[in-house]
Amino acid sequence: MIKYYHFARIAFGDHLNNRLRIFTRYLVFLLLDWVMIAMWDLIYKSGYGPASIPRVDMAWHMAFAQMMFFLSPRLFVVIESDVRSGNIGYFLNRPIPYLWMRLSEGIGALLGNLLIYYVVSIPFIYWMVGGWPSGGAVAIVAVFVGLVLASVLHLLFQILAGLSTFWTNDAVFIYHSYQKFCLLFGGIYVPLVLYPSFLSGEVLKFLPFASLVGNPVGLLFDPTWSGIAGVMALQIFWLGFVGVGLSMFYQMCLRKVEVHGG
Amino acid sequence: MAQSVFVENLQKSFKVRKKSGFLKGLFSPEYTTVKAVDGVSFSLEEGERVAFVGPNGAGKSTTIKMLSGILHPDGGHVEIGGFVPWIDRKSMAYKIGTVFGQRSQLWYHLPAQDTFELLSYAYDMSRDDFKSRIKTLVDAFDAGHIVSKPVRQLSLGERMRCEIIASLLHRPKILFLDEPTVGLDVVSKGVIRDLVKKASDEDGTTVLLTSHDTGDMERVCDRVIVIDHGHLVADKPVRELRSGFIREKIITLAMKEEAIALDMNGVRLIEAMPHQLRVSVDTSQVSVEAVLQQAMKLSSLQDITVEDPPMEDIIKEIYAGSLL
Amino acid sequence: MAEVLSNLRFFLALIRMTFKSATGQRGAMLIRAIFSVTTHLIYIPIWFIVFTVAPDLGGWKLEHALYAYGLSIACWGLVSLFAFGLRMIPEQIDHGELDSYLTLPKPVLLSAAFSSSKNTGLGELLFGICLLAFCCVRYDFSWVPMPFFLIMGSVVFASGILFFATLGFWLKQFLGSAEEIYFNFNLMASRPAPIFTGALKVIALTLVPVSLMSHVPIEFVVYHHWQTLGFAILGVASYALLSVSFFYLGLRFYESGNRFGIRG
Repeated sequence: MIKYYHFARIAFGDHLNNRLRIFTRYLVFLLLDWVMIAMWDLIYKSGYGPASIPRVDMAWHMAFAQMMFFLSPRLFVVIESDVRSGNIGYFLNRPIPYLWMRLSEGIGALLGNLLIYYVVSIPFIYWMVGGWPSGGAVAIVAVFVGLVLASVLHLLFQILAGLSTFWTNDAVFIYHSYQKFCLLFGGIYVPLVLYPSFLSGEVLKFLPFASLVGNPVGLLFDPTWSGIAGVMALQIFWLGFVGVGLSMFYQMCLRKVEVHGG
Repeated sequence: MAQSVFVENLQKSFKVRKKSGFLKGLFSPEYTTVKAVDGVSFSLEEGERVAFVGPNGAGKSTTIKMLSGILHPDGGHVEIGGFVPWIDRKSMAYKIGTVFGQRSQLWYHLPAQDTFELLSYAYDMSRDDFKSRIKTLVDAFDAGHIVSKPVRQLSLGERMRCEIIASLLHRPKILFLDEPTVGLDVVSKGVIRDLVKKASDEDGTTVLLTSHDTGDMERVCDRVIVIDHGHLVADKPVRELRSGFIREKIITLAMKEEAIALDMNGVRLIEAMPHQLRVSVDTSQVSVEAVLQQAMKLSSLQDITVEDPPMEDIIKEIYAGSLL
Repeated sequence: MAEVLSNLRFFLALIRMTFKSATGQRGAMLIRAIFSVTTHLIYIPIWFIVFTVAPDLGGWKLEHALYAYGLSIACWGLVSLFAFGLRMIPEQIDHGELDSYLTLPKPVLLSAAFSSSKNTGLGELLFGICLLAFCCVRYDFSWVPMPFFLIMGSVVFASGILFFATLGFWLKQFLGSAEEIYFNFNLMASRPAPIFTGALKVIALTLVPVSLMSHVPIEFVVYHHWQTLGFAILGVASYALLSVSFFYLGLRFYESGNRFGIRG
């Protein structure tokens, strides 16, 4: 276990060293936040805002929903590059599985991002929204905890997308497809509770996409212990499920490496 | 003969960021300046073939990239076939050909002949001219069987042959070759060297090549320019490097006696075996003739060989500064 | 004039080569095109949900959002298909791949931009055009300006990519960040215009001119404001000129992989 810690530690330092990448990504995040908050402001001003959710809470929800995609590093790009260049082969003779090594590195970089996004974003979002969520600090902390597990789950999906390069030779379009499923079923533009009846939010919240965004960010509206426990239990289930699936998929990929190697 | 390449006091620096704290590095990064090329001057006559050598990081590639219009220098004056590279880049491009051993100009998934055709449009060649020129080059390079295969299926040596064909397509007056034999096997290196030399002899093309391989300079070039730490440290004809620039000869003696002792100033033992002796002679202290006379006094010689040290050793010594 | 013709001949040869290279793997191209159409279809229910919650966003309705999305995705596809090299400029800079273009007697940007193609672009282009066609049929929008808007939007998008990609001359290992900017540039172009007010409107008309790409065309489709369109064309031309000039300024700082040290 200690070696995974060291991989994460090195990745943490390396990630924080690339200040430019962090800075640029953060600017893009802020701009996107701004646009989404402005969109819901307009909806409320036009009189279509849902009565059950105050405008300020909705704005915080939108800001945090965007944040999830920015917290994790772009791990699928690294794995795609390893697969395409054949470098993945050189990692196989190390006494640490490639899969979990890359995940540790991803978590290391994720921790670096958490530090920045959680600290810096609060004043920015407050400034853009113009108030605190009605659940107060407890709601924000609950979302932050939920987003940590969501980001790890997102890393697992990214690894899946990256490993798909063995078959598709291009992880980017797989990742973009996954991202679009998250947009639709994760409740990124509209909270799941407001989905129309034919796309029941009550059903969608059990899908992994909701565990990535809609459920943890939805804690803003329900920062109770039971709410938090429910969201985290589902996230842990999906982490286990996707983790086991990933491990099996990785074994299939290893056979593909052998085929490539002749 | 007219000057083909003229370089005077050429300079290029790179800024390297210093390591610092996260916030400091973000808002007020500090830099140090590294001088990659620091006041290099030389010139090449038309048709001359010159090797540009130096250790890693000496500034060879940076210089050749400034001469071929890729990099902007910080100072100095350069004329390539009468053009200033960073001002008249496009006009100059018709006059020069380039091969960068580590980078390819060929399209990876397509046959090399497709790249040649694209380049013919880049150089505004007429269709007839292109067809006859490509036939001449493919015949000369014996490349008929390789130009129709996708580049990804070619060996490194075959790919390099195609790279050189691509660079010669428009009949350049000056050819810049940056490590053209890097990574090639001995046979492929020989082929590439012969082809470059042949092309230069036939068309009078001026050649400036950088390489770490002394074979490239000995087999292709007439002159060697040595650069280190951005400074020019030697500029000599290849034969002068061998005969005049060095003050060392290697003498191998075979004799009837099992062993002899050659204790003379300027003579250093390299290797002693039964009936054979190998010494290095510093000709500034003692002549080869005097050493041989002394050896004849001490033994019955059966065979004598007098050699220059290998070119690699000469270059190594120049890098180390002991021959300057 | 002779130079323009010579550049045009080279451009056509380059495009021919790019397509020949890209269509080398026809099977993969088709699979990606189909996949890309399928995944972009997902945006339709997303906008449907948004407009179910709020049927009118400052005058924008579902049809306008769909038209904006169709336009932005078709432009993304066009640029990916014909000028994918633009998106890869930061990597070309890092890997010193501009070297061979710089030694050719043709504009560097021409070679750098049009030397590669992304085969998902075909699916995106087709999907975008189908969505635009659907809007024209279903909501009675005019077909006539559509090709013009596609060109205008592609120029804006290509110029935006070029502008941000050029930062790679100064900022190393920039491709990842640049890709994120391009993607969100495109995403923002499909957001309803009335969202963009105040400082956001200034940004959407200048630094990230998504308004020129989709908002102005939609305003023209609905209100036929010729004057706005005229200003937009001027804006597009200026932005393109700015981006190209910025690229050539950056080129002066090109280090061809000779930079000392990478991480700091």
